[in-house]
Amino acid sequence: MNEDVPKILVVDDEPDLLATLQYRLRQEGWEVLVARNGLEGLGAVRAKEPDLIILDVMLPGENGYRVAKMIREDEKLGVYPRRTPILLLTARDLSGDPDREKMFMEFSQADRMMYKPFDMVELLGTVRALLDPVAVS
Amino acid sequence: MANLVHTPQAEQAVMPPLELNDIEATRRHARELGRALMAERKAREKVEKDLRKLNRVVDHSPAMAMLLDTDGRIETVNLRVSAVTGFRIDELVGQPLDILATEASRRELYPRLWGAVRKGREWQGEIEHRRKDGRPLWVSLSLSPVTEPDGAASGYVAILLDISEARRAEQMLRKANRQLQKVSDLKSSFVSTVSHELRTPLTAIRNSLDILATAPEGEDRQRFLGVAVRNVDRLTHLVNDLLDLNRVEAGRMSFNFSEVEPARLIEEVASTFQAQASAGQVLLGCQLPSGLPSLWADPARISQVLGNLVSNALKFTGPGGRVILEAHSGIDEVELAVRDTGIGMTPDQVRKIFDPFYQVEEASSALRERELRGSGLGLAIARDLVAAHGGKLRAESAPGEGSRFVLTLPVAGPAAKEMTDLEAEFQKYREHPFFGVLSIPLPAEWDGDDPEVRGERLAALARELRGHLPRPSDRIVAQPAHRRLVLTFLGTDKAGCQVVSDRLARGVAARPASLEGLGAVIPRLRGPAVYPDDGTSARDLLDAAENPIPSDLNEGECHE
Repeated sequence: MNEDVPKILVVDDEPDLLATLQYRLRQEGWEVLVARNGLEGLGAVRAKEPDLIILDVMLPGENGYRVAKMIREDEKLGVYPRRTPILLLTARDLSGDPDREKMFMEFSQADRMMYKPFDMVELLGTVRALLDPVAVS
Repeated sequence: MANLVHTPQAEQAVMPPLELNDIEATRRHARELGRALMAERKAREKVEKDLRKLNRVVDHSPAMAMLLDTDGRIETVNLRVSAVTGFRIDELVGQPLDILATEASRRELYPRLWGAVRKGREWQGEIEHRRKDGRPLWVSLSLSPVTEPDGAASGYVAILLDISEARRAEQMLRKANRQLQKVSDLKSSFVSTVSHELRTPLTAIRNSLDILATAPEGEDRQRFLGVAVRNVDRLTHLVNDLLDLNRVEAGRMSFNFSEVEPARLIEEVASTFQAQASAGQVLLGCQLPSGLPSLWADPARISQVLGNLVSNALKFTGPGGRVILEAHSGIDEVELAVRDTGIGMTPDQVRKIFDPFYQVEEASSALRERELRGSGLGLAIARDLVAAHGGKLRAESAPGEGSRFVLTLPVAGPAAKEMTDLEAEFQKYREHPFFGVLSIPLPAEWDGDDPEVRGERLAALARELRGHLPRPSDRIVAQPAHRRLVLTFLGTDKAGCQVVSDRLARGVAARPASLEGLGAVIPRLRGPAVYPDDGTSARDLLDAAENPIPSDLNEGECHE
């Protein structure tokens, strides 16, 4: 695999969601890793050091917020060479409740949150922006 | 009432000095003396008559009145005091005012009260007391000193109003409010879960469509078309289950009851799952004793429940396992069970298994991989369907030892038929704005009664219960139904029904002989209802309920 191709880790427990996301992200030319629960995801982050993590919130076992927080704690210990952007996906719409949304974002220290069902073009745009903030801005 | 109003001094007759030698003067004097005595007697009689009138007013006042001496001890009380507190007048006279108070009010409120009154001020407040039988008595108390012209207190007047009813109503309202809040929270969490369950397949559909819009012809298109269709099916299934759950919980689902042969029903269900079981290398069999009695059930709904249980059992039982459908007959019910040798459940999982959307986590991840995950509503619906038959659905399980789901259904017979007929009749009145229904177990000793004795017992009970209704406008219809007594309160809302329920529970303690078995009052608030007896139309019952014969208890309350 080309060293320059960004690696994206997708963590979701719904096989159909995982399959569709994986397919679209690969179409864009990115390398895609998948995990089906929070701990498997955390293991993949440690083993593969992805460039971006797309993380579902409602996962079996550890939920997405907690997994994101654990990744940030790993980063504080200097486990990874850089801070990995995290995009949270949730089926629980908090857009009408900015206080709670802010609380969850602060807790997880994720970079963005998107709501299911999302617009694929918007999701791809967000992924691009998180991978290379300078180029997009 | 004695001595409440002091008799004023009779007027002093004014008489000229007596001259003993003057006969005429002596006679005149005697006449005047006689007149004066007559006048005094008339005045005294008038005062006594006024006093009797006043006593009557005081005795029949809705308030309790007491006169206290300078030490704060009870000198005299009006009749209302003993009517309300249950103490005889002679038990109260000579006692301190706080004889009726609870320990807490005696300690905390009474010192403050006397502090104010001894300074010559009036004290007013609400204090908790106890009746002679120990029941709580909340009073609004007003205590003021009786002052002589020189300003010194010659005693105290206490006026007490019984506000227990208002207090109780307030407490009921608070309780009802808390319950409403709980229902509202449950609803919010339900809506939030539903939205999650809807959004997940929607996302898969949307993503698939996005891919289909751009992907070239070929295998990929077929694959994502499959994903979209599967998730549309999942959404449809979820929406159908949600509607089913709502219908059965709101009592809007219609049932076609008939006599059902349990063995045939079970064998039919088993045969529809035979292919699925073989594919999973699971043995699916039936163990049915001969001579099972017929059930009184809607065969389509019971098949739905059994099908759900078998489908679950197959999902959680691996190759080489067994799923067995069995039946056992009880006294007037039949147990149908689905037993498996699958993964089993922990006690915590068993406790939650009938909750909407609850799914055993580890198992559900594995099922998702195989696209076998259900809506999470199947068992919640199944339990409600069984309950609508007057039956019960329960789960028995241990981790690694498989699970057993058991449904108990009534045997076809007059009692079961009566129950379902009544339920159907009940449906007609569901949209009525005011209603209240309580269903209580019938006292055990009524079991062997012939219809006439039972009718008399019911009439007596209804009269007694009427005395417990919170408002004079409340009406009650009491009807027996399948070893329970169904009480219908017309013109009573849910909160009122709660009051009645509480009173009935209290009434049991007071009258164990006639109200035995009412301790377990189950509020069953499903809609307005009238349960007709044999040959009586619902309309007749409504008419009877709206023109009840007032009971002695009601009379006592209103005209005392």
